[in-house]
Order: sequence, then C-alpha cells, then structure tokens
Amino acid sequence: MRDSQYKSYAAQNQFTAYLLAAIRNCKRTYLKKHADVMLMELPFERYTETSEVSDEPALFSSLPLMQQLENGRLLAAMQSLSKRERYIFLSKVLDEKSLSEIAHTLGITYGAAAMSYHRTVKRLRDAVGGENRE
Amino acid sequence: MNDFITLFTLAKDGDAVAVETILNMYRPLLYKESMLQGIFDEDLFQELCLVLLNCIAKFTIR
Repeated sequence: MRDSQYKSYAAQNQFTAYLLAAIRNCKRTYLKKHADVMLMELPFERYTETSEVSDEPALFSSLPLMQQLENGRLLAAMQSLSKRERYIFLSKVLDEKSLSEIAHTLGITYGAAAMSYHRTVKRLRDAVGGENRE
Repeated sequence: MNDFITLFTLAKDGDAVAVETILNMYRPLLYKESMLQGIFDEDLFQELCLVLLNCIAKFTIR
C-alpha cells in the first residue's frame, strides 16, 4: 500500500519536473519571439503616436534640416534645445567635428562643450524614449 | 492509492476527463509561469497549456 503510494508520488514528481523543463523551454522561445516582435512594432507605434506634432508646419524653425526630421518627439526635443546646444550637437553628430574644435569656434572650454554635448544627447534620448544604446 | 499513475495512463489513452483533471491540477503552476513582469499573459498561458498536453502525450512512467 505504502509502496504504491510512494510510486505514485515519485511518478508525479517526475512528471512535474519534466513539465517544468518543457515550460522553461517554451517560455524562452516565447519571450525571444515576443522581443523580436516588439522590436519590429515599437518604431511604428512611436511614429503614429507623435505624427500629429509634425503636422504643424508653424512649429518648424528656420533651419531646413528641421523639416527633414520625421519623428515628432525628436523634433520637439530638438526645438527645446538652446541655439548653442543645438549647434554643438549637430556639428558633433552631422559635421563630425571634434569637441575641442567646437569649443574653439565657440570660444568655450573643452569641458563645457563636452558637458553640453552629453547633456543634450541624454535629453534627446529621454525625449525619444530610447534605451542606452550607442 | 495509485491515483496519479492511473489518472495519467487514462489521460495518455485520450480520456478527456482525466486530461482535464491533470490540467486543473497544474493550472496554478501554469498561471504562475504565465505572469510576465507582474502581468498575466494570456497567449503564454495558452502556449503552456499546449505544452502540458504535449507532455502528457510524450512522458512515460517508468
């Protein structure tokens, strides 16, 4: 009697272990698939969410570059920057000037230019909602 | 008390009631595993139910 009960419990334990391993595998593939789908879907959602901002041409500043920005949130963030911050950011990213060069043309120290640049990058990243990806 | 072994062999032979009993037995575990960051994921729960059914078909009691 006791022996058969023990056997039953042992069988159930084995089955539970088997099931747990299968669940772990299934979950891993499911999460991976899910993550891939989210990566594909997010940019589109972001774009549709914020498209109304870029529908207002009055907001565009005199810079022709600004009109090329499609992402509404990025546009809004770029417009919230001061003129100097925008200059530092754009000449670093687009014109690929070094920070010391930028500092020299603006007549500020290297440290001030670097600090302003990194602060701008962080602000833009927060505004766009991106992760810490270089 | 040969409960689980008989139940399992019945389920393996395709007895719907036995399968449902096993499913009900493991439902809390499946619910627990379907929680992703504190949110219940219905799709994952369905997948895990399928996994359980697959396991019943594949597992053999030695």
